[in-house]
Amino acid sequence: MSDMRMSSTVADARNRARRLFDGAEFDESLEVAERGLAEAPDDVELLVLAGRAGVEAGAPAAVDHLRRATELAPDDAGAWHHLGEALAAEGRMEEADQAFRRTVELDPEDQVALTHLGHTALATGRNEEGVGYLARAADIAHAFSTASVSLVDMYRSFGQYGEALEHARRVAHATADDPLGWLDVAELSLQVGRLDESRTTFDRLRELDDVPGHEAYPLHGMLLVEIRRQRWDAAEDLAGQALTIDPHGLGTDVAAFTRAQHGEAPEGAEPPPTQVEVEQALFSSLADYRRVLADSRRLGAGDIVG
Amino acid sequence: MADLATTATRAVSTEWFRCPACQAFVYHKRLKRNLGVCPECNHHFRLKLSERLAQLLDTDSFEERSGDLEPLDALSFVDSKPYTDRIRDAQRKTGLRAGAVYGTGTIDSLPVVVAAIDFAFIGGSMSGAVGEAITRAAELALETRTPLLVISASGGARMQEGCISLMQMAKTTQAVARLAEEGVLFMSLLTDPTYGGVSASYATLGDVLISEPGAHIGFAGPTVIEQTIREQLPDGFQTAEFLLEHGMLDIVEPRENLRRTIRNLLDLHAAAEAARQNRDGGTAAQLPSPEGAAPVTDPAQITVREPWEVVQLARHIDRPRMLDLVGFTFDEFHELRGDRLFGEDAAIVGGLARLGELTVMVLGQQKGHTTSELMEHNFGMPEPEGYRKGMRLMRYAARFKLPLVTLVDTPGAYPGLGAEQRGQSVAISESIMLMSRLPVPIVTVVTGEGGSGGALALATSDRVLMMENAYYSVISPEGCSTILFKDASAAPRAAKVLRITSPELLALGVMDAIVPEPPEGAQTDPAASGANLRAAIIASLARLLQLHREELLAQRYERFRKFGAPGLQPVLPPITGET
Repeated sequence: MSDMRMSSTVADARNRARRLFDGAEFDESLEVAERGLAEAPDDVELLVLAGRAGVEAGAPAAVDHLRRATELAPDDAGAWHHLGEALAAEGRMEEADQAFRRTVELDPEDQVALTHLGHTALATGRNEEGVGYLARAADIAHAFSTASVSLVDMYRSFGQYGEALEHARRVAHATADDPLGWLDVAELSLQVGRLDESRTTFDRLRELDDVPGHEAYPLHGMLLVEIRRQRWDAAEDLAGQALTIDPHGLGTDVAAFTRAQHGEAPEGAEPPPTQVEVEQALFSSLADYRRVLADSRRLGAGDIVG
Repeated sequence: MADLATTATRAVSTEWFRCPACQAFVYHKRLKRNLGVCPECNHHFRLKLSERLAQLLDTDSFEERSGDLEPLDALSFVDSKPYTDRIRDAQRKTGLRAGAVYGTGTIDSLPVVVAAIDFAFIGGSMSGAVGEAITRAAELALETRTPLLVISASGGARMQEGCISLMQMAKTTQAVARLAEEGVLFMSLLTDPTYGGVSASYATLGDVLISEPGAHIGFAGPTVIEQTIREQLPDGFQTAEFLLEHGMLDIVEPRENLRRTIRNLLDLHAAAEAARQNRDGGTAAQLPSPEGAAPVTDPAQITVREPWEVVQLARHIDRPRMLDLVGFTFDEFHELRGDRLFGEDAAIVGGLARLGELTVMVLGQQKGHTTSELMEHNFGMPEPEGYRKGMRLMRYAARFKLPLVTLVDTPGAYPGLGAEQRGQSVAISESIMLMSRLPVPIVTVVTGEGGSGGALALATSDRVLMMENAYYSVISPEGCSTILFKDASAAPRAAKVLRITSPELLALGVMDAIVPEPPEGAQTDPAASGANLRAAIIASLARLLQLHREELLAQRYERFRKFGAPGLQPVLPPITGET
């Protein structure tokens, strides 16, 4: 085959493989790219296309294609980036981490690669380093990013509630339908003593979350705020509402506690619970709420299973 | 590179998910490859309706029929905002009109009517539209006699629809009740979470109830229960595994196996449906040709052994047990569990099986061989739950006109405090009564020990057979020896006088035929024994499948009517020599 003819065939393969990839026809894209590679085995663009299509199609050769591309074009940040994603898709986190590290060396502003690098660092147990990369990614993104979502959790686990709250606000405003985002804001603002913000956010959460069985949870958050404010009338009112929604739930204990703050004698022989006990119970309820919302968070995201 | 800041403005991150169970960060493409199951801890993430259908159905096979369905604001309900606004928000968020869909599809080319609820649409709550999707799917399944698969995920009732939501429980339940009446398969897949008005209506009424590991299923939420009883609930409370252990589910299957499991059930029922539609000998024609030795009906052809030796052979630790024999006898077996009342009793195992092209229900006592297996199956001594599971599966067989095969191997029903509290006698008597009028052919083979009422509860059948070295007795030889001979060591003598061996029981008419064993017993060649058992079951079913329901029931009645009746009951000659 003449060089010109071959070059035309390869260009055609690139175009067709790219079009098929863009149309989410990954098996076909991989097939076309691999046919092109039979003619031009060192074509980096075809190797990257074959690798990317292979990742989506679950083809075992994807990593090999992308690794070959990085060998041929060691300064191609895109090839390293896609190699990292292919390795992460296979759960090869140490190798993915290396690939993303190289990507970021070549393109320090690639915030997606920084986000990946942050997560591969977390996945391999390097939490502080991971948070550093995620923070850089979030700074580049300015507003909402995947990095912010993970930073909320990580800062919270480090006890850095102020930083966590800053990212939680970004996430909640950007993903306005996601109750977990608002729960983060409500809880973290309570933690840092921003009680007005916490109360407003629990109110908003009550409005937003219409899942049956979730009704009492935001009320428990609002109760915590009012107890911290020592606004016993408001707390008693909320305890009454909680009792109505959930007759056997926490409302009973909280109502007994708030009545005792007004100097009312307990109805039974049992002494009312202490503030510490009531707060513990309410925080425990919010932890349950977090668990059920976390289970549903992925439903608000794009399809993972096609 | 794509800018996540611009691509993810209204959606949660799609790149890395934090597993709610193990807290690991999982890359979304890895999660996708793993069907939405955490590769670190096996936590099954919730799936969207579209993802679930894509996983279960053949590609592009789903034809939706629910396009006109939309929630109806029958109460003109307003709380902090009008219900109509809430519906619009949910529609925008999920891209669905009603929160549930129904239509037709195929699984490995086997047709199925499917309905599914999306939890992301107002918590999957039961609106009129959700109930309508389920009901229409059930009606379509009934009209076309196509199996129905309903996939549920719901927090419960839709408050904003008041009593109209409540009425969906009755509406959907009556729709699936008609399927049960007409013998159309209904498989219910309960996914995380399924609660309240959905779990307390159609979703737990499937012929087969399937779930995934860790799925939460219940009526009231755990917090409510904990606060009510003021006790901490056990780990795993209201998970699918908890429900399985308590007899409420048939199958808990990892997501990767779900499609195959449902496909196998569809396939077995397709064969049963084909037989149902071709009654003129079609069912018997589905049986394979027997290859083992034919069953023996002449007592003289059976090797005579000392009865006590027979008892030892029947109890031999290496003797093939129920599940061994099922493996040798049937071409396919899918276990179904649970009594739907109290618990799962592994002393009785049951499920759908294939014999050639014929689908049958198989039930039997399972013992096992090792200490752990014996303990797991309570040495083959069923509790009431075991018999109630058996009865549930007998009714299942009747609903789908499946022949029933029972394999008996038990020292007896379990004599325990709990068993008595939960009605062991009632469970056994009801099982005997149910079998006596079950409108499908029943073949029983006593394969090891036939211990009294605990055995008879699975043996009130059209044809009762026995393996050559099994025994069947009103009481154990040891028990009889202690009671009547006042000497436990006289068990061999008791075994002799009780007339418990196969030739004796054949002569008495208790047995219809004997399944031959290898010369030194079934434990020396389980495969050959299994082949003989298969041949005997095929021969029995071939005869019974020719009979109409009335003939079958009349002959079964007469079979047991004759025992002890003057002139009808054969009498054995006295035992000669020393007893």
